[in-house]
Amino acid sequence: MKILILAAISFVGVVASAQTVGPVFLEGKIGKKPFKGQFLVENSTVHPMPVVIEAKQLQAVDGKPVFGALLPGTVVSLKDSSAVVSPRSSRVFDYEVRCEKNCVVTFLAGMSGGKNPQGINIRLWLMSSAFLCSDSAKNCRTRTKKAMGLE
Amino acid sequence: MKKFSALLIAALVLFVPGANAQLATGSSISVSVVVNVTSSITLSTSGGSLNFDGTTGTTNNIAFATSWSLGPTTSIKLYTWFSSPTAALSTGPANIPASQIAATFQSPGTSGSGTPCNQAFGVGNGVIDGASCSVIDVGRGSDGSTPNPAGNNNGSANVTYSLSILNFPTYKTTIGAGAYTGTLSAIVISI
Repeated sequence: MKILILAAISFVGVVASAQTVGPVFLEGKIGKKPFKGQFLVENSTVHPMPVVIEAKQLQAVDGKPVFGALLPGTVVSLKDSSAVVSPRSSRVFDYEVRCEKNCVVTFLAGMSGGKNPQGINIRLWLMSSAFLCSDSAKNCRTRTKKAMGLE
Repeated sequence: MKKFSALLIAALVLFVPGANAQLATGSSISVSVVVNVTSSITLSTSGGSLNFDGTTGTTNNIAFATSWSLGPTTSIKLYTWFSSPTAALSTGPANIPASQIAATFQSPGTSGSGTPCNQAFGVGNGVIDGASCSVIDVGRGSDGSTPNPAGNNNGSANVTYSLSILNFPTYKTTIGAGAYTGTLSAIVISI
């Protein structure tokens, strides 16, 4: 019995944090109305997980991807920029994006990967990107990456 | 008159506060939200916290575990970084710069050690230039394989990870004693 209890404690101690984000990629068409999208953040731990969301925009600089601040002409509306995801649960984040031309908006989901007052805190981030094209949503990601020279 | 009485009773039943309260407490609405998740990435840490050993200047090992279910992609990389190039770790006014710290890592397809965490990848996404440790190519398999740019990519990688203070025997004589704390961030980037 002692061994069993020790094993259980060890297991709880080993898995400090885990988050899943999806979809990682979403394709859409730029229209008169803002593009509506959503992504899901899953907390697979047994603890409540505070999550913060940040929006970035992908650009290609010298053929390299750079995720920076939103560019002029891009408007992002995020219904919730933070939330606490219940243990073994998930949370959907809804957003709207308006772009004047083809764009890639990335949503970063950040959470604590373990607090340590005597050492190093760890923070984990994952991303969900919306690839938006003015002509069609089909293969927008592939076409955008190619146009940016990121293939 | 009968009709008026019936209407009055109906109105009372509908609008008295008690009737509303009863309706609210007795109702339960279940809402299902369905999100079409066609791709996903999971990132987790295990192995406890990162703590420096005061005699060796190295931390214990932790593990970053990542798994992915993606369509075509060309790279899946793990970036780790500190919050500040000049103050990666601090205790009061004393700081240890990121250039004095290095990450040692081992993933299925790549490994590294000794490179200072003052790298500048210019990738954005909060990854701080001048405070970044070596980028880890988690999408590279143990056989050297890389992600499939034309097909689906499903996989996982466990990265053993630790930190060390460079030239610790000499460096420790130049810094004050104390509990140095800081934040190490990690992100998986795939485009």
